[in-house]
Amino acid sequence: MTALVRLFALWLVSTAAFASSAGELLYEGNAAYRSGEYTRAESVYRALLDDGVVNGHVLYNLGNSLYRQGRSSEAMLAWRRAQILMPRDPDIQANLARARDATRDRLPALSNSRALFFWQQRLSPREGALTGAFLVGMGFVVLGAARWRRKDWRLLGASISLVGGVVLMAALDEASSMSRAPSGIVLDADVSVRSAVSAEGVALFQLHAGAEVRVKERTGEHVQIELADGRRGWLSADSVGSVVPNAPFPVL
Amino acid sequence: MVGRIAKIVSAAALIIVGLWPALVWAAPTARLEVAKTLQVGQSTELRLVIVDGSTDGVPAVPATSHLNLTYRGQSQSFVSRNFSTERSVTHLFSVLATKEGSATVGPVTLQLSGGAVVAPAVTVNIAARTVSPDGQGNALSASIDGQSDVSLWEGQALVYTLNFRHTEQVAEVNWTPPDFSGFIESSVVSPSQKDYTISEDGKSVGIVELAVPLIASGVGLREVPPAVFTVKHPSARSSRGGWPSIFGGVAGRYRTESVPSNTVTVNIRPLPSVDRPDDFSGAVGRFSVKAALSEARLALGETTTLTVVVEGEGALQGIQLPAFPEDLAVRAYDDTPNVTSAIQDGQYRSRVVFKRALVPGEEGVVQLPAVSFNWYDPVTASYVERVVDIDDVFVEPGEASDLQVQSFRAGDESLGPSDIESLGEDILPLHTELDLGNQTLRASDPLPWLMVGIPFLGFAGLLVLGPSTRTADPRAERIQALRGALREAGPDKDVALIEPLFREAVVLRGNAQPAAVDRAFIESHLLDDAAKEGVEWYALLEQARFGGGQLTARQRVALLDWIVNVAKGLKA
Repeated sequence: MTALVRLFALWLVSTAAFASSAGELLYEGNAAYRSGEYTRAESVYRALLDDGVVNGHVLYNLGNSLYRQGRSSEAMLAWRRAQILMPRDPDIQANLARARDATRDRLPALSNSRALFFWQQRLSPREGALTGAFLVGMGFVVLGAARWRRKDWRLLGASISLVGGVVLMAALDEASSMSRAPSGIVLDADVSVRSAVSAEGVALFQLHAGAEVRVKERTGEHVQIELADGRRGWLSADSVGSVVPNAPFPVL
Repeated sequence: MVGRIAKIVSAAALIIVGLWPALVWAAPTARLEVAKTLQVGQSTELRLVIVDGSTDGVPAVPATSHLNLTYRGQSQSFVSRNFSTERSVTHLFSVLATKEGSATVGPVTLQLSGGAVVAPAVTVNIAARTVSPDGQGNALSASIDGQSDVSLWEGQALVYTLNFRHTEQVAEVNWTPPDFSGFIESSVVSPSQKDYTISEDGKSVGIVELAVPLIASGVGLREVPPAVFTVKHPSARSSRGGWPSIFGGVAGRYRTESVPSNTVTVNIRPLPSVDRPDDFSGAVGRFSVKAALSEARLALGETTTLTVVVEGEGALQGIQLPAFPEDLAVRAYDDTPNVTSAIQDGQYRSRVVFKRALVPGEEGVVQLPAVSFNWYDPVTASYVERVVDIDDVFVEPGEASDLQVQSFRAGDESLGPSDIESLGEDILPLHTELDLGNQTLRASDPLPWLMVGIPFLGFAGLLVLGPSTRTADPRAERIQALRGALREAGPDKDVALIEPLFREAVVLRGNAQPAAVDRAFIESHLLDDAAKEGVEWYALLEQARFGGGQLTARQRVALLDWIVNVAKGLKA
């Protein structure tokens, strides 16, 4: 038990130290942004992401610095990733809405992934998992109390654990489905969506920078995408950026 | 002689054989078939018949403006004549007479495989409408602002009104809109219909009024062609019920009438370029502007909402709330403008509500700039700019100032004007929060494991160690045991088995041992009636035990009921 406490303390200390250096970097990036050095701000935010700070605030700021450089499709990608991590943040939604309005295709927004329950639109996968874990833990606490004192609490404890388990599993499923069939943003200015995995495929329709698609399949250097209206086709994988937050942020 | 006759017959045969193709071959022909006289509002069929030929697509049939032609389809037929088969292709059109006078249909020039064929023109005389039996007739009039010849400005909103007055009973009215080229049909206001009745010279006249919102767009002199109302009148036979139709209706129940309107002439003038503002919104009409703040006094970090309402006659699409200057120390967040339009009193009226949330970035008096809107006034034929002042905002010190300082760890930076961006024109500002943990869901994150693991370990520990740490409650166990025994007890049980239950129930009232039960214990630990009954049961049980007596079955039932009642009141 003592070893466990020591390990936890070590984790807390290392996390605090890491957060401190990350905070300095964020400050540096913000200062660069304010002084109009958007490229430097972008590189600082990218460095934070590379250091494992896959954080909605960092992605949001990265999106702003990209937008300021006129790279709106990459900005949309950063904001979409930020939105997955912070789904209730109004700033992200406002910036995304503005960027979507400026896209040429004006496709409807895609949800992060398949959502089994209503709360999944309001909680990030991690928030969902933490909520579920908390409820499962609380369920065990109540079950323990029932054994200790009140036997009629057993049903309550089991119910809380069950609800927590559902929330937890839904969050895990969401994270899993997001990795398997992620949404993506078209990064190229103008791409032809083809019927087959080659340049010889028939050009079915055109997409432009900022169009939001769902990636259904990946084959080598190509991905099969699907639009909100059900249209499907193949694109070069480099043309689409995945919105999965911990995927490497593309460099164009 | 015979030889001569044979020669003549042979020659005739040769001539016939030689001329046969000429006899059976006929050049393609075309003709127009239509009734020669019509009445205004009457519709009929027009046939373009092509014999021994066909065309690709729908042939173009020219007609004067008195007639509206609508293509209905084609059919073909074959007729055997003079030992040959003649093929006829018929193109069918429906024709509606819209104006009184002499109308001409055709000529129609057709390019067939054998060359060009012309169907000669046909003249149709269109007479005025005959009046209905009551002498009044039904009439449809079209107008814009009550006139059939109007002058408008480009971008001006208008209401095209169709007024159908009828003296006959009307069961159903459908309308065929005219070609509104040169106008844009409003996307925010739908056509509206009003039905009402007026009295004229003591007679009831029904009015069907249809108002169509339009926006003038194509500069020049334009003519809105007649609209057509197709009206179903209940026929005279309807009073007798009519004959059941094979389609389930009542045959002959309605009479259908097509009533065309007049044409409306519109002169759409371009907006003058002289004095046109550089930032002209494109709105044309007469509007008023109001602006108000929800809070004029607030603490730093709090929000006040600026509401600006522009409303009046005309269309307001395209009008925008001007952005504040970039150097203003106020963050501005615009809502999506709420635009509503409607036809009121025959006028196209619009209203747009702008809402802008304002967050001052510094303490003191914040002077907000006036907002201005411009439009073209069609009545005064001039550009109008309306400037509306906004009250100053008094910003008092608040908690937000401290929070903002904390968000910059290195210290001496604070929000400056360049940080303030407005959603209406730009993206929102950076996040400066220091919550920089990894927000992705990953297996290496210890928090979820701890949140489940620690309570689970506690629960598991209780499962293992629970019996030794659990507080024993012998009295509760005795009560449980008594209740279990009572569930199994019955009047058929021997008194020797019922007596221990009696003693157990009584002693648990006082938490003593069964042997301690006697008259004094019962009287001291049970209440009034229960004590009295208990003493009686005790005496009976003692008698049965020592005197050899027995309880009757009824007594045993009553005793068990008494014990159950006493046990029910026990609490551990």
